[in-house]
Amino acid sequence: MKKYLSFFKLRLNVALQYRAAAIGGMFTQFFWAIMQILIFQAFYRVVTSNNISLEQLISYVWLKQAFYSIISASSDSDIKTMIEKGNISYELCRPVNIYWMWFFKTLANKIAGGFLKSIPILIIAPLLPLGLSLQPPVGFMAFILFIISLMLAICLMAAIMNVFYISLFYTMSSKGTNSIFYAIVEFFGGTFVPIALMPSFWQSFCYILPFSLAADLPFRIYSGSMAMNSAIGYIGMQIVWLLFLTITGTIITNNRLKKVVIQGG
Amino acid sequence: MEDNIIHVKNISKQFKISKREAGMKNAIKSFFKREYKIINALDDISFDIKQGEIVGYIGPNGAGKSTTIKIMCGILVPTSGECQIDGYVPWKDRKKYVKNIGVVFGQRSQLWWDVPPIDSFELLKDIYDIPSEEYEKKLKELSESLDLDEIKNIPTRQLSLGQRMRCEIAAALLHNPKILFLDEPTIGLDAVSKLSLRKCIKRINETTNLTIILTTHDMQDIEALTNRIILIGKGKILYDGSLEQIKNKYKDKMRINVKFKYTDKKIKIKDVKILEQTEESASLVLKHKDENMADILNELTNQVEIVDLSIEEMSTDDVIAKLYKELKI
Repeated sequence: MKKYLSFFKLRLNVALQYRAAAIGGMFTQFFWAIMQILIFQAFYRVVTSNNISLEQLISYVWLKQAFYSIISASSDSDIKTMIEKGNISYELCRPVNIYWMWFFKTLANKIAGGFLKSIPILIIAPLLPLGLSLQPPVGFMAFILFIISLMLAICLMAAIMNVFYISLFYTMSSKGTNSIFYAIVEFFGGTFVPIALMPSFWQSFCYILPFSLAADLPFRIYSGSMAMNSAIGYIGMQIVWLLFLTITGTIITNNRLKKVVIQGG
Repeated sequence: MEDNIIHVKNISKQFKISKREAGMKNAIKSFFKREYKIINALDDISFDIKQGEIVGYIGPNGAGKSTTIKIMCGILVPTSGECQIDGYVPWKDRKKYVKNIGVVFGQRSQLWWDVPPIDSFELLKDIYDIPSEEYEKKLKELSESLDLDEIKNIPTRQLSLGQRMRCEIAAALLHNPKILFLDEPTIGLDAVSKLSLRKCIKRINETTNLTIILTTHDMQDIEALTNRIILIGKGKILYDGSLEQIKNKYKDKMRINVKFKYTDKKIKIKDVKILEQTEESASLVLKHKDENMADILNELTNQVEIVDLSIEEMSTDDVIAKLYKELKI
């Protein structure tokens, strides 16, 4: 376990070296959030949703943007180039399980890079004037469930990313698959339109898939737009998906490594 | 057999590669239907290597050197054949096996680009579960032999290639492996860096009895580090033995080029063959390598009035080039 944890340390180290990137990312997310909020305000003047109130939606948007780089399908270029250019040779010479090494590398990359951006947003957003600000969680229970589902969501997203990396073993190049993969994850994860605003049959479909469980669920729990019972049920689903993806992922990776081809001599 | 740390027997490896003819038409055709070709990267390779030996693994580009190294590192699975290294089958017990080996691929980097090498070392310490005391000791030892003190705290991206290569080797040795694979470690290095790197490798081999397998295109690497070479071409082992022997076999005997003042007298010396002679110059070849040079030069001075004289010996590169040509690889 220690060996996987030290990826965190090193990755945080790298992230801290690039202050400009962290600040830039933070501003992007900040303005994106304001823009989305203004658009939704305009919508809500005409129609309202039964699923989620405007206040809840605003909190949802803030959290989603704050944690965006942690819970998004942006792939880790290290692992991508490693497979495409053949640097995977070195990875295979280490006494570690490749699947879990990538899993923790992805986690480390997302968390180390993401928290630097999320903390300032989480500090500033609640201080904004009413109608724009991030509200406190609806209750203590909701907050606890939010934290649990957020942690599961981060792991689930890393497992989803691993599916993408494993696919590179077959396709050998990330061109094409990258954009298809990104579009699927972002669309079903509710990045373009929050799942709560989608038609109800579509919502129930989305919540069967792992993408919304990884990128949407925690923020709905926090904002209180989801009943506690169903929240607990969906958290169970998160665990099931996480187990399913990691177990099948490990098996596929181990099998695939027997046939691996190293590109570029 | 007991002291053979590496035992490779009848290893073959086939690759399936997609091929297509040039041109747009064929590009479109291959979009729908791919044609594949099977190539034999390795064909029945066998050799044994003893503990503490340095072996040069040479051959032209595409001969199968890197493939062999990758099989020995447990990265690739051979199509057939057996391989026992330090009691393990590399590709079967990969996780346990790789603790005993260190690898440097000269064309790739294992150091994290954005942070100083020391941070990469710390990560490797955790990856290999190296106890802190051992790690400190080994790091100190390597810092001395590879001269890392001044460079290990500079971000990797700001190191020169030579400095980085020394760090790469340190990174490969931190966990105290029994075998070190060096795949073209001197590629792209300048003369000074090459010399110092060779010296470091030699020193580490002597002090720790480390087994080293080295692939390179630089014959001076081989000459400086080892006497045993394994020559591979088109996937087959063509020679396994000492470099000296090959040199003796393929080397032209010493060649003397001489310029002298005008004469039409033919030069005649015992045991020396005259390749060509004009009125002012001549090329001579010794028939036996162990001929006494002084006697020959004496004789030569007696016969002509020498203006200029040079003695040529074939370089190892020439020998190897000649060898490749003769073996048609």
